[in-house]
Amino acid sequence: MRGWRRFGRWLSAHLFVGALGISGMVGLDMGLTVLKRRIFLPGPHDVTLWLGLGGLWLGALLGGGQRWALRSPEGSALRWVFWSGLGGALGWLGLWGVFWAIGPERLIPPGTSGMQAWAWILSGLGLGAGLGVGIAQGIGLGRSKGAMGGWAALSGLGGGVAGWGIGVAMIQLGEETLEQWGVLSWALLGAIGGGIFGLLTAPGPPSPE
Amino acid sequence: MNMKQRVCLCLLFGAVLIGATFPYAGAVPLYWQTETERATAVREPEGLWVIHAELLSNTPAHLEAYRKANAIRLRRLQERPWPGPIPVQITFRGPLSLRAVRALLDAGHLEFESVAGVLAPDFAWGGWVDPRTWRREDIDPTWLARAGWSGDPEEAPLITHLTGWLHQPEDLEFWLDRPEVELVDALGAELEAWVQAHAVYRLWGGRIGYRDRVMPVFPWIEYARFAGERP
Repeated sequence: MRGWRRFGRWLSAHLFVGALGISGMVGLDMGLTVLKRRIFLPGPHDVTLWLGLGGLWLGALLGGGQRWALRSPEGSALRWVFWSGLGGALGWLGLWGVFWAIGPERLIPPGTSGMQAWAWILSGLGLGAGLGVGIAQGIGLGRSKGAMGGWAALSGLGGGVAGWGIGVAMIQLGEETLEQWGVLSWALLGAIGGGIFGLLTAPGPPSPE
Repeated sequence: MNMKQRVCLCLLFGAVLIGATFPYAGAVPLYWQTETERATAVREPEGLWVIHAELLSNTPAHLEAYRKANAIRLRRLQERPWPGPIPVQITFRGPLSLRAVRALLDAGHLEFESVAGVLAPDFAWGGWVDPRTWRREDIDPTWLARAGWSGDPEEAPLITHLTGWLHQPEDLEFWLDRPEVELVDALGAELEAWVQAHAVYRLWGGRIGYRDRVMPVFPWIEYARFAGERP
C-alpha cells in the first residue's frame, strides 16, 4: 500500500511538473522575445540562453516535484533542487554544443521537415535533460558511482522517451490546434511527457546502501 | 527490482513506444537509386506513401539508358502474371491535339489520372480534368500562343503526357502499339512493388497506389527533348 501511494505521488508530481514546466518554457520563450526587443543582447544567443534558463527551470521544478514525492529526509530539499536545476541547464547546454559540433543535418534524418523534426529534437532534449538531472542528482546525493550511473541512465532514457512522446502528441494535435488551445496545449503536452517520464523512472532514485 | 532491471524495463518500454508511434512521427524516407533514376518514398504521418522519382540527368545518354531499363520493365510485365492495375505515364512523340487524345482515351485502355503539355523548356501546363470533358473555351489562349496555333483550338498540338492506370495486359499492348506513343513509363509499378516489399512498409503498413488514387510522381523525361535549348 505504501509502495502504491509513493508511486501515485511520484506520477502525479511528474504530471504536474511536466505541465507547468513545458508551459513555463513557452512563457520563457515569449519573455525572452520581449526582452530582446527592449534591450540589446549581442550575438546569436537566443536558443542558448533559452536552453540554459529553460534547463535550469525545468530541472529545478523536476527536483522540487521529485523531492515532494519522495518525502525523503536525506539531504536538504534546497540541495536537491539546486543540483537538479544545475543538471537540467548543463544537460541542455551540453546537448546544444554536441548538436552543433556534429551538425544538425547529420542528426535529423533527411526528408524530415516541419513538425516531424520536432519528435527527433524533443527526444534529444529529453535525453539531455534527463541525463543531466540524473547525473547531477547522483552527485548531489553523494551516492556510489554504480547507483549514480544507473539512475542517470534511467533518467536519460526516460527523458528521451518522454520527449519522443511529446513530439508525436504534438504532430497528432497539429499546428492549428496548438495555436487555438494556446497554453493549454503546452500544458497537455507537458503532462504527457511528464507522465511518461514518471512512469519510466518510478519509484525514484535508489535508496542509500 | 534493482537498477539494472529497471533500466532494461525502461529500454523495452521505450523501444515498444517508439516502435509503435514511429510512423506517426515521420519515418525515415526510403531511397531508390539506379544508374538512370533515383526515387524516394516517404510515409506521411496519416499513412500515405508518397513516391517521387527523378532522372539523374537529362543527357541523351541517360535518357537512352532510361528507355532501355523501361523496356526491360515492360518485357517483365508482359512475361509475368499481371500484377493488377499499374500506374503509367504515357509520353507522346510530339504534342497531340485535344481531339486526338480524346480518341485515344475513348478506346478505354487507360483509367485517366492526369494530363500535361510540356511545350517548351520554360513552359508546361498540367491538370487532373479529363480531356474528354473539356470544352473549347477551357483551352487556355496562352497555350495556343506558345504552340503558335491560330486554327481550331481542339486541333492545337498541346498534349504531351497522360498518366493513369492500366487494368489488364491488353491495355499495355494497346499503348505500345500506338505510333503516336514514344514511351509507356512503367517505373511507377516497379516503385510501388519496391515499397510494398520493403521491411518498413511490412512493419508499419500504410496506403499506396491504385486503391487510394496515389500516383507516383514520374520523371519528366520530356524535358530531355529540349536539353540543348535550355532558357
